[in-house]
Amino acid sequence: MRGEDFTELYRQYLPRVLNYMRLRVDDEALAQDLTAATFERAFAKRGQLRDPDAFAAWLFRIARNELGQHYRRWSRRGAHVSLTAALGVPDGNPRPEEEAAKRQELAETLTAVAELSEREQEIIRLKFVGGLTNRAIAKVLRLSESNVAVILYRAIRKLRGRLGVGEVR
Amino acid sequence: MKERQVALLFSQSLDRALAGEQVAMTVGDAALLGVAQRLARLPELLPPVGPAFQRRVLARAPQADWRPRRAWLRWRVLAPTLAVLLLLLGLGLFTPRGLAALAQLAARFHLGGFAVQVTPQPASGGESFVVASHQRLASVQDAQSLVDYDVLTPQVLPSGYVLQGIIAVSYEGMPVWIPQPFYVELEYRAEGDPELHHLTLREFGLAVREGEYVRRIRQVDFASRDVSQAEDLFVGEMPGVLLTMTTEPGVPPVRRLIWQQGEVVLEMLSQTLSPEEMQVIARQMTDDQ
Repeated sequence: MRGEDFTELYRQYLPRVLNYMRLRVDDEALAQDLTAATFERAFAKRGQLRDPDAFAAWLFRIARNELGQHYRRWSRRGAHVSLTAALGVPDGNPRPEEEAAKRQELAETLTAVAELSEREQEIIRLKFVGGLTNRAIAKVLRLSESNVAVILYRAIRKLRGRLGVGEVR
Repeated sequence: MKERQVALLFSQSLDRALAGEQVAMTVGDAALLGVAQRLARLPELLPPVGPAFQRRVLARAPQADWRPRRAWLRWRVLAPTLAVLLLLLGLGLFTPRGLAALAQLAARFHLGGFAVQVTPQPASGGESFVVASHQRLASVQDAQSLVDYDVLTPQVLPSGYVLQGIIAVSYEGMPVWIPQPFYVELEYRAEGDPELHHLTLREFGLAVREGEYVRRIRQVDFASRDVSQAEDLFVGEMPGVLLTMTTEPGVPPVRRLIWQQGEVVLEMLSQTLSPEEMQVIARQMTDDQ
């Protein structure tokens, strides 16, 4: 990431942060507002980023802070996966069969994820939607890297059963 | 094999598999990898970023190249500032007037990765700390006429608080680049015990100039042996620190909120306002700029 300009970083991380927000809040407009606020704050605080290689973790910490402020502001609980936000947004796909299949897969996956603990959900979101490494997730959540690996492993084991793949012995 | 080891190995394999590498796995782990790959499809299942939203965010993105500061650049910026601070320390250690000034400052300067602690001790030989001059002023306009930075005033105050006095504090014998008066103090008081129900606002013009550039002291952390708690925070977008100063038993602690606004470092003191109330006042002052 060294040497890339901030605009390029915006382009690279915008979908990741927006998708993360979509799974955290219950409407698309709010997810976009929080995403925009995250990047604005990131730009304002860019001088505090000492290690550019840690940009992803730093950015998602800001994203989580924005979410925290939102929840404190509105006294709403964030410990859920919002299906309405993720499923309710048209993506411009002109083929209804494909869109229906994607919606069904998305609904199944998110429903299964929603049954995990909040910490497991958050690691899944950061790993697979935010695209973070275990090390970056550890920095965001202030856990050890091995703890992240264990929680992720357990979460995926649980999901295996819930997604109809079968139980793991 | 312990679960932790299994989990770590699985994570390593997972990362390689998600990066497109072929990974040899046990049957059980391969099934788990299938689940992970399904999770990795989530971004594809979510709608793409709309062009309007992308334009909205990118419109606010800086177009200038953003690169991490290189070490030599940091040093070029910090070295002159550090030299100035060492000069301050020298003044504090070797001249009575400097000691007097530093006694009032009692400051620790944070400069990026640097922190310079200035904690003056009573000078040997019975030297006493003397403030060079206290000039009482009639109005904020009078204070403004003395300094080259904007004197900020709180627009929102707790009920009953009114401006009681303005003082300009100057020191003699300080380096010429340190503007005098060194700070302006606004004193607000409320009805009730005047010793407790007060809000003091000190404003320091602490820009450090180097040629055409203004090298700003990012934060002044007023240190004291009485500090029982220090909390880093932000006032709006500006870094700050909230210090809690212990007092005598049974007396409420003094809170000092210090932050930077442009070229001005502000210090707010109160013994009765809560940290949240102080931050609201400070944030409002920041928002007005």
